[in-house]
Amino acid sequence: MHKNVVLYGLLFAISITLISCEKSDNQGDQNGDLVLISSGISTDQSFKVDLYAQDTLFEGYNKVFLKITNQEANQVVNEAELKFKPMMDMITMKHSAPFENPAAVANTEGYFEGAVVFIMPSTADMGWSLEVNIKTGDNEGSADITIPVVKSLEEPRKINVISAIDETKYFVSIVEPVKPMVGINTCEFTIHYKESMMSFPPAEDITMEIEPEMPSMDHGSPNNEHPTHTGDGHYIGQLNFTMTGWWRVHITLKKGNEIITDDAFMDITL
Amino acid sequence: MKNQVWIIYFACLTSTAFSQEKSFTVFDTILLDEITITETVPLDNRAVLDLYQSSRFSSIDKINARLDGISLISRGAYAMEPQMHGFSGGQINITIDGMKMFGACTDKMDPVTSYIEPDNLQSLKITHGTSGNRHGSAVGGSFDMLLKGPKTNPDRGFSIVAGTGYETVSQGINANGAFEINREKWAFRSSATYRKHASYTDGNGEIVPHSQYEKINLHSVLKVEFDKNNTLRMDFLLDDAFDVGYPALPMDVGRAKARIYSLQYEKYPGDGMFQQFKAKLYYNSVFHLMDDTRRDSTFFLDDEPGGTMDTVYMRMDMPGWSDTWGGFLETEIALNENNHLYLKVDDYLNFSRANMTMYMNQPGYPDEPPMYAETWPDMYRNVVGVFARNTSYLNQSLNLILDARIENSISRVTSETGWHQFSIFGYDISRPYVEFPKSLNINLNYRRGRFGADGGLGYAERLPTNSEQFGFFLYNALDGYDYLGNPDLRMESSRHIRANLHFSHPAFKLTFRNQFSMVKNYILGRIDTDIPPMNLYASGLKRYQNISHAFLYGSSLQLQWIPFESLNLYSLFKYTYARTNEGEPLPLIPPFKNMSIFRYQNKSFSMQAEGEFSSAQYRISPTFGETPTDAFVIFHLRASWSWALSKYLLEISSGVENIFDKAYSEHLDWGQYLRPGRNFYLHLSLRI
Repeated sequence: MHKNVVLYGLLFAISITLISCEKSDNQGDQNGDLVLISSGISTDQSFKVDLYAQDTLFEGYNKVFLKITNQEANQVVNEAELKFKPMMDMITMKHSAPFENPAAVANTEGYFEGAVVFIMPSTADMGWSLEVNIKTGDNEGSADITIPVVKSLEEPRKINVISAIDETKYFVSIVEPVKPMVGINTCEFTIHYKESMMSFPPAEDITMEIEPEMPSMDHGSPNNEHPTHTGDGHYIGQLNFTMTGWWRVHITLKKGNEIITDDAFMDITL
Repeated sequence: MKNQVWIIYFACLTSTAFSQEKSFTVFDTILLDEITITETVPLDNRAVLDLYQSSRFSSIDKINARLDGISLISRGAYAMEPQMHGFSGGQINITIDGMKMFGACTDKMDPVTSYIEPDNLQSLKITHGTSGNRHGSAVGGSFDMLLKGPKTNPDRGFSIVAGTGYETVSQGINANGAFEINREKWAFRSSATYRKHASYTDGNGEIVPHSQYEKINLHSVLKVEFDKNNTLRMDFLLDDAFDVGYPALPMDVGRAKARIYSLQYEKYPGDGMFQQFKAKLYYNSVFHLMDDTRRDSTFFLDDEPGGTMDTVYMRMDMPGWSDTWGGFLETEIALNENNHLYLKVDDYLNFSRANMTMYMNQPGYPDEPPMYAETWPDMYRNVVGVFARNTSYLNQSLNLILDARIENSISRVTSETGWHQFSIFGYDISRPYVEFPKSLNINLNYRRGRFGADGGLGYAERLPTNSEQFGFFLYNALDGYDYLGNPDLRMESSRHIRANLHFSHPAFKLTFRNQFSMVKNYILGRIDTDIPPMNLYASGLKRYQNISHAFLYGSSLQLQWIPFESLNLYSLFKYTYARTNEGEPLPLIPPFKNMSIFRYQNKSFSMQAEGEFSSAQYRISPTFGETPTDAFVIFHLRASWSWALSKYLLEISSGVENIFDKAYSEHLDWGQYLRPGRNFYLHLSLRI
């Protein structure tokens, strides 16, 4: 009996140590610290642009954070008109991607927040770059930032859909939930379409329907809400998960009464 | 672990035996024969007792099945759930020496009775209907199991008993042992039971898979007497079950573990008008692990587009925990010679938790991430209650009993995952749920000469159980539905009327009992097609709802005839009828049943023949997966001999159960799996 007490005591102590170790290991990236992805200097040397993100960039909708420094005044810029131009260089050809330009004012921490939907991952030979055009007062410059890597996710957060109506190519990305949980999740998707190799405007007139399912359990979940358009190609709805595990969200897209697709899906593992 | 416990136990047992050798005197109280059923019937309880006493290794389930008004809901050979004239689960109040205890299994595989062995049971107190409210609110009755305790003895005493037995039907081994030390100021008793049974053979000669079980039960009591009327009593009970099979369910129990600790102070007789005073503190904890590691967990998934059946392979773990802390104070006050008041204040806090993790492995695919859900999100329920009973002896043959109870219950789910799970269905269960269950009874007892009659009216409310209120997709193997709790359930309330008649003559006794209850807001699972079930093998989903009302009628007749001193005939008839307000039969209602015994006894030898008859049950609830059950008759034959050899008493009991190897199942057996076929048993015991 006494032996047991000692043993349990030891086990308890060990587990506490393990737990506390684990916590300190994870703290760095758990609390939303931003990661510096890459930097660039504007052609006239007047601006330095640091590109941050929440994590390594991936194929799909990425929030990006820019810190801009006026090199001459050695000052962080808080107000600027910024324009993005993402570019994929595939050697034989180039194409852009959907993006959202940042607001003209930086957030309280000095970051300009925008977004880019990387529609394909980078490879050893083909990479992404982000051209940022900066305008403050009469000062204007343009920095080209080379993005080291855009990874492809094991569980894709972006799907491509070819419209059954007119073969337009749509890109559906999931923005939220980033950390899906059991219960009610607000879900946010973006839909963009390919107008040309260089133009990917938001699709604002789509009717979107979602239906989560656990494929291996042959059941879904109740009381989900279909996402509706809130502006700039963003669609917000509600996704409910009754337990952890592998879920598949079936997606139907319609334009008016015509079906763009009814067999698309995105997997979410809790 | 179990072996260790045994070794420790026997080590204690032998060492005590040796150290006491010189001083012990033969103590002739028969320790293991003290089980008495203190039901409120004047019919001699010995008749009921004899039914199981002749088989010393009767399980508590065998005893319960033979009691007036009790039936057992069964899912396997072990841990059957008592039902009282159609009432079960949260409708009845199952306590141990007044202590509240709750099973930790979301599928009710561990009723509290499964943690008690006949070896540590002193007596059972059974009250039917709304009057079972002394230890807690209940609409259907109460079932209080009193634990055995030793007696102090100024002449000092030491006694020991050990026995072992074998049952052929399940190659079952039973063993027990107990010892008792009696001193002037203190007394100690410890008992142990061990059972190991393989899957049994049914009446068709086939093995019923997954009906095995193994368990160990230990109970120790220390009693200290400060003076003639002040006693302190400490109880410790341990019950561990391993590898318990449930043929009616898709899962078994790998481990069930219960611990009970209690400390009691009693003053009896008291001073002046305070005739008795008792204070008790207790804690009990239950851990229950359901798993399907011994099952061929292959399920078929209907692939709709292709119309084919795909096989999937899944494992499931479902642990459950239930801890209860509580205490009560009770006193009996003689207001005057003809008027007594009994008062009790009690409080308990129960914590329960259960979850489910499913591991899916589709053939040819990598393992999927585990699926996890909280089937009982962490819940605390605190209940404080006050009970008062006034007994007035109106005249020599008439007395009036009035009792009332009020409780305050606060239930709170503390698990955030639990809150999120229920938020999907539009409930905010982060708030506390408060209820005030009330009950009131009026009872009149009349007795004149050989005739007696009693009757009463009662009202009682009961709390919804954890499963009914906060259960999350609990799979019910009987109807194949997942059950979802309903946080907004209202309390059931029963209006109850009872009338009993007695006749007692030394050679002939009769008791006829009737009770009728109208239960408003009866809690029942109803199909909800809007919500998909969660388990892939579930047929659909049911949500607990309050239906308008239900009617339950129960009746029993007990007859005893003793033509000669050595001959005893006893017969018990029980009947229950129950339906909803819409006339649908309620599920799991036992059919008419008769149990009769014919017993011959002389000083050292006894023999008895028993018959059990159950009529068919056609009044069934098909939506609850019930199917009609056929009538059956089975017979048992038992005999026992005892020899006194100086200080030793050797007892042999033997018999055959289900003599004609009938293949049968009781109506309350889930899924109508077959009961054991012919069973020969032999048991030896030695007392010192």
